Amino acid sequence: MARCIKLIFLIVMLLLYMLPVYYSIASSFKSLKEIYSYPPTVFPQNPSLQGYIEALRKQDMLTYLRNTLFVAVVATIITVMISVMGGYGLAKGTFIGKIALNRLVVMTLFITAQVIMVPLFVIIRRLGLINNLWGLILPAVYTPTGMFTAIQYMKDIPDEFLESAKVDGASEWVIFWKIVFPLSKPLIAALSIFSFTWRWNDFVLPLLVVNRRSLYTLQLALAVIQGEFGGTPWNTILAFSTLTIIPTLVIFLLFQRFFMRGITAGGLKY
Amino acid sequence: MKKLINSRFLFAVPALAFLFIFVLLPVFSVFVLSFFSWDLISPPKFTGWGNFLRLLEDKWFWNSIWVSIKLLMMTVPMCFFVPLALAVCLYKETTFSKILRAFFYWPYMMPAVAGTTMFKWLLSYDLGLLNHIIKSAGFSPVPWLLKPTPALFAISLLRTWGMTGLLMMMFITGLQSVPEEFHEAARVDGANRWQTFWYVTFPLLKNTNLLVLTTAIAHVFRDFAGVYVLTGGGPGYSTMVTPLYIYNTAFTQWRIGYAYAMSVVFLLISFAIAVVTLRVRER
Amino acid sequence: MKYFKWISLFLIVAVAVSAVAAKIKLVVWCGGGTEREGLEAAIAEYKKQNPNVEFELVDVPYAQYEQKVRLGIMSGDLPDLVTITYPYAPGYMQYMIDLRPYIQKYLGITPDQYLKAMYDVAAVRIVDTKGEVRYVPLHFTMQCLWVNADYFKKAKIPFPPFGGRSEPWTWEEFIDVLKKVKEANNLPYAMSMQRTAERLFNYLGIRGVKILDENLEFMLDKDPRARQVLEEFISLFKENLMVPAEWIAAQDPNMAFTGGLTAVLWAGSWSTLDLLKAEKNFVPAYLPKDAEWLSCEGGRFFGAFKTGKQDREEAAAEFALWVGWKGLGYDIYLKKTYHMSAYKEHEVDYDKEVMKQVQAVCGRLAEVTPNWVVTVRNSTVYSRLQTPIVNQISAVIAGQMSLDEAIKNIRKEYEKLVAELGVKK
Repeated sequence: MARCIKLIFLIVMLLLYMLPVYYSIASSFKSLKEIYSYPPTVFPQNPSLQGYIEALRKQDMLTYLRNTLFVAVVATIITVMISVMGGYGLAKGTFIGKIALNRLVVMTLFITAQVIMVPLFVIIRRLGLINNLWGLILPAVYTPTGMFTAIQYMKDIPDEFLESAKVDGASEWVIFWKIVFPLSKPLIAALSIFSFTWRWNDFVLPLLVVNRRSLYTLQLALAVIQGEFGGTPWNTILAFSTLTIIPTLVIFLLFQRFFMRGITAGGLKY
Repeated sequence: MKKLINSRFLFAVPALAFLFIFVLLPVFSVFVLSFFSWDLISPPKFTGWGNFLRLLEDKWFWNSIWVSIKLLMMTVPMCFFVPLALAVCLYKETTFSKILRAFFYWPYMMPAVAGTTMFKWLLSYDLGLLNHIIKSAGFSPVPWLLKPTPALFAISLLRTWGMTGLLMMMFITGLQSVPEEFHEAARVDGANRWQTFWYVTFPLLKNTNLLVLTTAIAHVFRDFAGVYVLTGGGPGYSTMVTPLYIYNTAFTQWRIGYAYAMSVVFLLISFAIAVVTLRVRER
Repeated sequence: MKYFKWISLFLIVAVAVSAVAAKIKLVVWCGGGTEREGLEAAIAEYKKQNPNVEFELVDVPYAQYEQKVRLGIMSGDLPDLVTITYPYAPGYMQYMIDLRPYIQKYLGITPDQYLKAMYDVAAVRIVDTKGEVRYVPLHFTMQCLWVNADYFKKAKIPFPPFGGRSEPWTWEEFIDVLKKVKEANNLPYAMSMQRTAERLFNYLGIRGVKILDENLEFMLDKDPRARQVLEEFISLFKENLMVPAEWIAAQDPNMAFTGGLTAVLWAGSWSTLDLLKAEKNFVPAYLPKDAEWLSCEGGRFFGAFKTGKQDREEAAAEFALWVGWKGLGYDIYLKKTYHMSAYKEHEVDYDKEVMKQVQAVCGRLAEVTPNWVVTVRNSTVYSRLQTPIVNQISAVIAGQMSLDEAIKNIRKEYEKLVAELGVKK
């Protein structure tokens, strides 16, 4: 009996949760005439690719794709580098203020772009990075969550590994590359996947930094075309939307374990 | 000398540099520049407490705080019980569970803008599927984005939909760490499943519960993209949450100094929430 | 005679160098989409006639226009030519070159003749307070109605001017028409209108109420009729004659109109391209005439920045005048973008029949519109007041506040702006 209730509950919730996704994808295949027809159709009567063609051609989607890809990939590479190195330095280094600095990292976990929107914009402008793809990369490479995760991970590496290498006469740099780095593969994998996804999905930072259309990222473009004077028809908007979620969907399906298990020690996205 | 800083610390320098420039510097400048009036083109003018005095009288700013609070009151219960229910059904490691979990987790992975766009389309008054279903069931259509309360509710639903994945996994992790013996013991004592859950399991999940609560509160309070795309502030100002109000003041009215002053308040509140969350996590 | 070789060599080199040097590159900022396509087509033709001019087109989206120009002015990174939408045009006039000296040179007419050739409302837009011509019209728009002819046929209601009635409706007649066409076709609503201050301005203007008068005084709380007229506007939503979602949630009006939920669209000449795609029987119609008959014009203008480089400024001016003059580049641009012409009695060879109707309807509306409609809306006060007006009225329609409160709030914003801008009364 309880089993039944559970099953019904799950199915109902599943339908509800997938409803927005289904309706959007289905509608993206409607023609312009059908998308605004009243009452709305649940299933496209005469499926058409009008929306997709408009999105790709008229709306310059490939440019946005290129921008987003560039930002996501470069930012991920830099993020992984500085997070792994940073985690190592902060966890395994000895210096005055070590505890204070670690505390600081934890304290800044809550400072995301939304919280410091205006000063962040001003600083980015000062650095001349407005309307520059690097303005989307550099402010984002330090992620509090990523850093925190890296520190936790590094803490778990036994000190003996490092000490024995030291005794053998290896320099710090060698220790890092030959021992720590290879041991960090799971961390690197997790950081890469998370960082790529976060940059792909990013909206607030592009909204602040970029106002030249040729530099838009996918999510920013999607938001802008909805508010525009003249209006973009919904089948185009939804086609655009559907296309933008494909890469994150693929990553999610391939690397589910990373996302769902989260990263150990509370390194879930704050 | 060697003991003060060893060269391992140098590995952390790049990260710390970025931390300083893009996180700490903005936070400090928020406090400093809030005493100035600035429109980005002409040089900033010192105004002392002027911005803060204006803030006290600004009805729409306090309205935005109230909206955020209303949103929290609507969203957090949903964000708590729905993922909990799902987690209870899905915490066993069966293939079925794992597959279903992925479906519920996916909205969390989706880009905020795309997910919100989907919701917007679904909630359209005349052409949205949700009202169509409601009408077919015989009820009158809900003016989702047209009236203040339904609009707030719509944002609540959107947030819950988006956060379920994360929160559900937190609960699952917590549930899995509750040893089976507790369940056995309760069952032996004659308690049914319902009672077992509420009187035994739930209290044991105290840490997880607090974690979920604080995470939900933090996320909802900071939400920007969702509100921006879904309602843009809602009918009138009824869904104008604080980050959105700050954004409009800064970037459509170009009152930068004043926006800084508002950011100070927002930052302090976020900080307070963060401190509470940290205390909880440390346990 | 030995020198002959050297002289001829020198001359050849000089000619070659000057030919290369004579190649001028003009940077043009434009708004992307069809506007860009139109400019590209015009440029292609211009280059055939002027091979030594190169162009670089850069897209600037409408929404970020002001920010970009602000930053450009601050950093000195300005293009040679720019298209500007009408709200921003007055603010940047000071940075544009005066085209009058070039009008005689390149078009062979006096500046006066130039201005008389276009509709008055267009001429007012391109001239600054000293009478200097700062822009050319690139495309010109007028607000007008669009009707779903099939719905009107079913309801057996004639519409002006192409639906069996030559004179515009009075406001009372118009409301009656809306009710009848909605009922006859069993529609949920009657008319769609985009949520902008411009539409509201036009509505109020037709009903004899000004938001700002010629002295830029705020009138909504001073004019005894204002409140009544606004109430009538708001009640249209309550009666479902207009679409609440459009003014509460900024829903795209094309959605309801092309979807067949409404029979009338209050938009303008710019809607042609989008409406054609719906493949329905949409026809342009006169706006109603009440205390006044007028329509708000708009559009994009084309101007050349003062860059300080004489030869580039001249080349830019020459191109601007060419692309903005009827019979020259203007026709190419209009045919590509399906916009109406700013010139009176200008027959453009469009490939769509409906454009003739658009030109007829909107041309007439342009002729009857008094100049104050342009000058008031040209002011910085009005352009900065637009967002507060829309937000407040939208809130009233949403039932969030009373109309009196909204008017009071707009008054407060107005006072703030006047203080900030130091407006002369």
